[in-house]
Amino acid sequence: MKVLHVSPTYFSPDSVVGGGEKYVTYMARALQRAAGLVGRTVENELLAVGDQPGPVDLGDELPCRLLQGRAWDPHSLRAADVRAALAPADVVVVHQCLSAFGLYIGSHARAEGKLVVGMDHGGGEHPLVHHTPEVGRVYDLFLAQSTFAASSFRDLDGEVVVVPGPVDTELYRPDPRIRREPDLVVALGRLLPHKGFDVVVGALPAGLRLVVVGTPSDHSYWELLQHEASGSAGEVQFLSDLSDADVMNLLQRAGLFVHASTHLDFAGRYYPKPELLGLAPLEALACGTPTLASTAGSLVELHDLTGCRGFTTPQELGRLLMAQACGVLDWAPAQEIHASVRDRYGSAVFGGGVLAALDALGVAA
Amino acid sequence: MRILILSNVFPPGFIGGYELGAFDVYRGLLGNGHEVEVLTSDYFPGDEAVPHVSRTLTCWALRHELGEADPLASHYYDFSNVRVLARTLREFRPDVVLAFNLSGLGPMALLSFLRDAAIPTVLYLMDDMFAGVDTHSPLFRAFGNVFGSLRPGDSSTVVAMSDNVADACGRSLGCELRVTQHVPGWVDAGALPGGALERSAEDGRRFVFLSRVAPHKGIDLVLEASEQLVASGWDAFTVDVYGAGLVAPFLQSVSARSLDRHVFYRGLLDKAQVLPTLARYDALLFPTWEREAFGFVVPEAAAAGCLPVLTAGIGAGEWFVDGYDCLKIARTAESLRGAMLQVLTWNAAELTERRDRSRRSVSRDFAFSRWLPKIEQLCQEAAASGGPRLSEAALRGLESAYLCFGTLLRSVET
Repeated sequence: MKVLHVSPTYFSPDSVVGGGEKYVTYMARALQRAAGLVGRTVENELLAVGDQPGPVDLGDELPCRLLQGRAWDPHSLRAADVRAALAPADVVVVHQCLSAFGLYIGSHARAEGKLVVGMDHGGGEHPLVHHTPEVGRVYDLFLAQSTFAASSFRDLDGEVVVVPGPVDTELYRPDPRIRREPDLVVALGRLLPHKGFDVVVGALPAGLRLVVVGTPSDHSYWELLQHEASGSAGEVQFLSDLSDADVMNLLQRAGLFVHASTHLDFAGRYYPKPELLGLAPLEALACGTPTLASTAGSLVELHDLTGCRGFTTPQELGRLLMAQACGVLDWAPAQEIHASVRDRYGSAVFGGGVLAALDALGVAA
Repeated sequence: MRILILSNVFPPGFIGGYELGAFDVYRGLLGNGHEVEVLTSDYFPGDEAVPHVSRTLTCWALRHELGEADPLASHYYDFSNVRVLARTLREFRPDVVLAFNLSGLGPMALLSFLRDAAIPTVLYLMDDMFAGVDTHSPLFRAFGNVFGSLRPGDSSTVVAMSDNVADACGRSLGCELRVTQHVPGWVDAGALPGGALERSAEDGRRFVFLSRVAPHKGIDLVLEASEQLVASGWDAFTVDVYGAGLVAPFLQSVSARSLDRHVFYRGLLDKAQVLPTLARYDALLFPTWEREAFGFVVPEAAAAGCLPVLTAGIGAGEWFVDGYDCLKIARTAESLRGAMLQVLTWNAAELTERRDRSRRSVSRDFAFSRWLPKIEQLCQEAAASGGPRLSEAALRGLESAYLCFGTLLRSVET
């Protein structure tokens, strides 16, 4: 089965280094593994948009080709190029399927007679999406990575299947050789206002060290974070450009991971979909790291995982962090935390879920 | 076969030969036992005598109210028309679509939709239905980028009345249009008058103009040529004019040119009256514009023994031989005057011989009974070549895809 993933952007400094882009790689990997477990073959490929057409090396197992154009702008693409690229696929997974780009790609995939799967990663919605439910018929299936993500499709015709995940639990796992540092708190993600890093910095008590890993992506927010950090009771460090291995090592060492995404940022701006899965806290949990997660978007769905606790206000986060600093929070062993994530969000269970959804549509190998 | 006919307008009302030709084909296919449904606009009201016709499309190029037509809807894309077509495809499940004039219906999107829906389609060209599509416009480029380029010859069977019309359509679309079959305009063999030709009086010749009374059909050239003849002393002729259009300005011009004793307006003709009426004249004057796809009136006149005088280069000219069964002219008053003068100066025997030659030629090549089976065969071949049909759900999905395409196209326009 040939699965073509189409996304306006791809995980690279040349495009965007974000969760939505990383997700595509994880999904492809999960599909391939799940298929392998049942003796089937899935060939994944990524089609994205860039200045120059042709193949691009993403440094992993997912082959990637670029269409020439501007990401997100369907008018910069040539329909003939799109059709030619879609033609060999059995299944087309349109990432950011509710954006103008997604509708354009989905429509061509439909016109090419492909089985068309839509996924939303929070990349915006074309006004048509809220104008008529019929737009949903472009897609054979909407695949939601969380129950909250499924809400994106509530106004549209079409079937929605929730398959939580994936997290690469083969890669992200506890390392018994690495000693935990109870006072080390890690937060991870692009430094954007809706990620709520300012809340974590503001709530950090004395006795804890916070390492924020991520690329500054908003100048005024970056300035705010630096200002908040200078007045923090705890110790705050910002790191960027870490390798995947360095990030994983940090997660395996950390005594606590905090993810404070928010629907309302420091300036009062509203974000309807701040998290559709919560890949960063899931990766931390997969490493066996105890995690505090806010209730924003899909994060509330993580709260009943072993090793994860929720908070609703900065004050509540402050109390939990203080308890962590005092060593009075009781956490399950790392392997139990890992197993809890693996069993619900891991590659095998996710890949199997997606394959079953595709099979139900008649795409047997 | 289950055949869906598309046409922007459809009888009983009509504007010209295109829809009348479509009507002949419709009746012929029904008569041969096919299931035929027609999808057309509501520009003309329906009639119980013309069954199996749904007037649910919107023709943006032909409207009763004044005002500019929306070029995007008219030439490129109108979602309501795509939707009506999609619904009809789902409900009627045709084996083949026979598309006549789609001008004003958003022909680009309709044909693209038929292509993407893998519906076997026969595109019947009797006029440049794509006139108004500007290949240099941003809208044309945007259409190609959003919907994909349209090359009808690659995805459908193309029937053309002439190379002239196929070339015109190709120019409008910026591509070469491969014609599968040429089919000329026809005349109903059963209605052909037989016997000896009615001879004109020795002291004068009788010309006829039977078309839309409008400049593009050459009515002004007829008046100018007539005026020139009279001015140079040749006044033994009359021109009878039949047809709808800009009649009032025409009558005023006749008066202004003092042609009251030579040029007469005779009103409208029913289809059944056409051949018997034409048979009473020596020659047809048809100085129409060069883009004329064919001109049904040319074989009709010839069939009636009325020598056609026509603009060289029009579609019908590809099927007639200058000096043998017609006279071809440049589209100028002088050239028309010269042809009329020839008719005036031939003696009665020579004129009769030429009129009779035209009649014999047409009865051999232009009978509808000869061409209907060919049209039927093309439909059957197209239907047989089609792949598996889309499911109802897939057709609905494609309809939604076209809603998205159209919305993106409109965002370029605005």
